[in-house]
Amino acid sequence: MSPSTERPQIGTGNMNWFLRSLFGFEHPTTTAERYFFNLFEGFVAVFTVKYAWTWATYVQQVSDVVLPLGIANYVNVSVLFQSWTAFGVAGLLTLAVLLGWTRTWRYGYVVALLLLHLLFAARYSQGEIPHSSNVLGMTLLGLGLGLAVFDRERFRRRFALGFTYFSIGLGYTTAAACKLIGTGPHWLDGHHLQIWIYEKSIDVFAATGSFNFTFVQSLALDYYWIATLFLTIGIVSELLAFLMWWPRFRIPMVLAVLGLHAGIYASMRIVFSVTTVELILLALPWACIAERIFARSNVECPLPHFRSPDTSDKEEDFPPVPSSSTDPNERPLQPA
Amino acid sequence: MTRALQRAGRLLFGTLLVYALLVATHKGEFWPFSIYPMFSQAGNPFSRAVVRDVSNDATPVEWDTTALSSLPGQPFALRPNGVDNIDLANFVSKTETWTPKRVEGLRSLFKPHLPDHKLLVMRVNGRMVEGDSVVVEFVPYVYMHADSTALHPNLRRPTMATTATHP
Repeated sequence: MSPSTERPQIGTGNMNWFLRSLFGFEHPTTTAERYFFNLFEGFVAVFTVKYAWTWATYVQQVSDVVLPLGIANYVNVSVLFQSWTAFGVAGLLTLAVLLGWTRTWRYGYVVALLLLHLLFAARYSQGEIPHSSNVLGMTLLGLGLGLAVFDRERFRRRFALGFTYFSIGLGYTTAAACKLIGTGPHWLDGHHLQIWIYEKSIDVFAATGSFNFTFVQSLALDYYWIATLFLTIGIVSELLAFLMWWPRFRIPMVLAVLGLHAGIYASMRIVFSVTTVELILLALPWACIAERIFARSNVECPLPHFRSPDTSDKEEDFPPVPSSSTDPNERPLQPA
Repeated sequence: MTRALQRAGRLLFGTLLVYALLVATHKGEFWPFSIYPMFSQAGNPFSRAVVRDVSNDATPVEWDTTALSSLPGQPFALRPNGVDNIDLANFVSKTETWTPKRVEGLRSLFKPHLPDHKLLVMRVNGRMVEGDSVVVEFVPYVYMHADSTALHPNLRRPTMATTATHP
């Protein structure tokens, strides 16, 4: 039995088992997996910078704080409004991301996260509380903590991915709990979806000048039971999202959350594009799939993104290695 | 437990603690931490905002509540004109007193368009009636042109009595 699935005794043993399942520190890493992680980290870095400059640009037309969020409760974020200061913050953030990405400064990503929080507080001071950038923010936090605390690239990678799965699972399950607490079990009532469809259609009307219902929206408006079914599938997917903390449930649960987003788009035309792309990256063991295709390997791909260990089940820390490229646990891409 | 795993565990649960403290003391939101309360209050009425371009309307602006099928003027699409529709909706619905600063804040969102457009900002109120159908009403709120602004007569202004009601 692999270490990630070995069920120990109650207490610290359970915690040990949980953390090993989540982070998979003992799993060997292939070259393909390292390439995948570089792609994943690059995706987060690029969109962190993109958000920063987009928000810095937007606050040039903002003049007043309507609803203070986060740090805006303590500092006057209006100094960023209609000012080059916002672009200065975005510039510093870009530098911090570059320093983190190139491993020049281990606190680069943490500083980038703090600066992005400041820009978020300025941009979303107008009353809207969006959640489209939260997954990216939590991933940046995972990358930042991993880079700041661990010396070995292998641990940084595993920590960042495990932390990301943990925060995504926690977030969706929390969202389901909020619904059940805020409204109760009758949250599933299809009439609730019907009023949201009108609300979101007005949003589209305001944004584009055109008002119409899509086929899926028409179905939900015409058939109460279909609307109820949509809500039921949605909340069950959210509620069980925490199961992605364990590798054996990762693929089905991340795919279920992706399906949830597809349903949200079809019924309410809300798109979380960056979150969706990140979920696609996290849903399947892409590195392993690439290895099968390009290296013609017959290796099985059971877990995203790290396969089961084929070396040792011993609970020992890994011996120090001079660099990630010579890490004995990072096997080169090889045909089987 | 390996040292790396111990360190990861401390980081994870330390972050969880900070997460819980920050969302508990900031109404559930401290980016990137959140309790994700969207859609948690099901069945509540909603409030949004749309903008109409009334440049070609010959008649003076009317302040009566209307329906989707009888809106004045032409649509003024916000997205291509660089205005966030949710920001506008929140600006309109969360403004209790229309001070000159607030009015100027609203005008600044549309500044590039006011010299050659007459715009009417309308609040949209939606609610469920009799448990199974949705009613959507459009209330004219603010009329803006290059050098003039007019507010719905019932909107609260700084000099008005505090008993004035929202339309």
